[in-house]
Amino acid sequence: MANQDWVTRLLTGRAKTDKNLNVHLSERDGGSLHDKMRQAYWWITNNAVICPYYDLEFGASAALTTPAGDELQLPEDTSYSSFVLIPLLTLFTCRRALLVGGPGRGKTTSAILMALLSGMERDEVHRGIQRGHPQLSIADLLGAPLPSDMLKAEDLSAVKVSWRKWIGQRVKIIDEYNRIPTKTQSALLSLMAEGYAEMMDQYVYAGRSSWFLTANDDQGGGTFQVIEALKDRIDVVVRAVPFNSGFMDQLLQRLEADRSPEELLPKEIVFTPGELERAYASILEVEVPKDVLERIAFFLGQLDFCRMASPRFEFKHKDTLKLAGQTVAAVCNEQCPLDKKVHLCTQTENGVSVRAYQTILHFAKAMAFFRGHAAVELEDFRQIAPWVLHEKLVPNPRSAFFEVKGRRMLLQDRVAWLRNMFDMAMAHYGTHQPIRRKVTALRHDLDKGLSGVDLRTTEKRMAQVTVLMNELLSRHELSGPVYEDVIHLKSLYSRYRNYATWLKENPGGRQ
Amino acid sequence: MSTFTDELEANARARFVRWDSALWQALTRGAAQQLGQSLLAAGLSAEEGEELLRAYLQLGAEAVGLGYLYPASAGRQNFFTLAWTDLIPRLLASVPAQERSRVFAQLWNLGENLESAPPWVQRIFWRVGQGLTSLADLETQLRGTSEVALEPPARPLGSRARGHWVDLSQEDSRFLPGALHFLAPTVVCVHDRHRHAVAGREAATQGLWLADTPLTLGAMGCRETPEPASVDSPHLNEALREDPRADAWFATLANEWRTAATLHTSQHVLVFLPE
Repeated sequence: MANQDWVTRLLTGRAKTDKNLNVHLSERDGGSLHDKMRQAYWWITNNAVICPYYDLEFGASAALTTPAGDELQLPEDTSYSSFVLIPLLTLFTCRRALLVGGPGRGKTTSAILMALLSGMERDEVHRGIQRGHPQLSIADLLGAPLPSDMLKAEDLSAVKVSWRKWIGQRVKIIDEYNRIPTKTQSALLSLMAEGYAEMMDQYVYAGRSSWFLTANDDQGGGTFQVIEALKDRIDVVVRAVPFNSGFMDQLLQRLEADRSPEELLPKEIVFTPGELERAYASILEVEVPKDVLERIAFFLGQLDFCRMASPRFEFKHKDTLKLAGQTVAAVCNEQCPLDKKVHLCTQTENGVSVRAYQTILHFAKAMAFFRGHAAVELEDFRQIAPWVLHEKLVPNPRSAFFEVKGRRMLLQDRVAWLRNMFDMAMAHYGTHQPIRRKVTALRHDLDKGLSGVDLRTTEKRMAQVTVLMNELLSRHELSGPVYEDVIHLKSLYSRYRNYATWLKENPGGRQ
Repeated sequence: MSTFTDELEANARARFVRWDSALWQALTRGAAQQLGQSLLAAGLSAEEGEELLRAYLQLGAEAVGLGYLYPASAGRQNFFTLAWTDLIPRLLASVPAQERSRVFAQLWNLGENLESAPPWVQRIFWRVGQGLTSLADLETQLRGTSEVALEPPARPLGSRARGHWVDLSQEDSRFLPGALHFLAPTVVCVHDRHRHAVAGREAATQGLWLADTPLTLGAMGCRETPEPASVDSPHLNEALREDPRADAWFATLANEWRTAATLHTSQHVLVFLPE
């Protein structure tokens, strides 16, 4: 019977015959959003952007080596090109990407394709591109008050600002953003950071949108220095890939066809506004398993620590140095007993902001969704994190870590450096895990809530926290992960202490 | 007709990511021509023939765009390609006129549904499809196939069994049979001893359908990594005693209905079916 049902199902589908014996196909309902995303990705890599290598690699890999020790990894699972995939993930996460690389490497083309994928018309996309140049004014960028209103108006509210149309577009492209004058950059900052712009007491809102900024050189080679706050609002950096002469034939075919890839973009991979919204929501629903989250936290958490930043325990972090106008390079010396070849804190000048934590998690979720997974894997994070942290983590070039032979090169390639740092962290994670498990158990007790917990239990828990803090400080080296745990424990201690004080002042627990 | 095919291609090119122009050309110049000739030879009027041909090409364009049709150069086959390039051109003309559209729809649905079925199911239907001599009453033919492939056989192996030596080098000349495992009561997947999955390359595997007569299914794309196992079987012991070709087993496998073994010294697999 089951077999009969199965055969019936095999023969039933979207092909049907009508009474005139014509065959009709109904629309496919199977194509899920991540399937469509993958189709879009492969279409771009196969038809629009020539990618000589796929650098986001998944699965175990075999390695080939030269006699000099240069390694070539051959991954066993599907790998992707960061230059195509990261802009695609930016499109679906409504974040801000910076595409950097030399002229003619396909940065603007890639951004335009993303806009076309969002359903915008070609003309609309081209008209909406803001091209950075030294004379770009705020009025050029955002719009201007109507001259007729200016003449007639008796107060400011009567002046109507004619906002530029690109501000409301789903995909915003700012070409060569480092050629925009500083003052205009500030206007752009408020639009990017807060999602609105203001002029003459009137506001325009950007709405949920994805931003693509391009720069030929992000290391200060533009006409104007990019303001730090604007740089900080960029969520992810994408590096243009060099051309490999092995693909000359493809280039020739395109030249001879005399049509640009954007003219050929198939409708099948264009997303409707509803699909983009659903993709955005589905990405947020991707689960981050607890053990993955703990590992991510273990890596990122220790970067902000600097033992030499302050004599005060709580202020032993790099922000203290920054506020004092100091650098890690100046204080990270032999007076700090930590082994610079092992501990990650020495390698960076700064830590990771809360915004960056969120961005990384968002992109890791998007990566997992794109791969068709319901939960984030550690490898999703490992692959995406260097691109998010690219401009956010500054290396300490004077660290003894980089003095070791072969490591100097890591300073020139931030992706390799950040991935190496992550791998180092994961190698130490196992050693530190028993301690962290104890901290987590104590935190778990607190998370259950203090309602109904009596003074005796509170004091008992406080004692447990103190014992663990004492164990950490007396038996372990004060490193980044240990510092994080001690600070975490101290916050538990403070919560219990405040509660105990309140209980003592209010016997019976009533206010 | 050429205007019609050009229009179809232009539309499909704008719709599909995976549009393969060369494959479309091969379909229109090869299988479509063959279908047209067979319809004419069967006595259909030019009008009727053209209508069927249009339906065939419309569905064909959709199949090319969705990647259901493989080019000959792909080196692999699926039921959809078999249906569109062989079964329809060869057998549609002999289907009663009022049944032809229904057969089109059935073949499309079958091909599309099989694309999401396990590889071994696809391979069985592809193999069985190669031997079809008629498209009439397709459903009954399918029921017969799926009954044998999916359901446990009525007769257990018992004490009287017949051994068959299946040469897997016919499918893949480098294939060295190694570990094996059951995918269904009568379907065995054999893994190559050396060519495991590495650096993005699939492991080399071969399927065997142990119906009344063993049938090779070709590469299975299996992602399992079975270890060579050893089972005690009176049939295998007898083969070791009586058959000079039987040598030291590399791996053996048995269930209530079938027994199979690979050898250290051979590219053949020995299988036992009820006599």
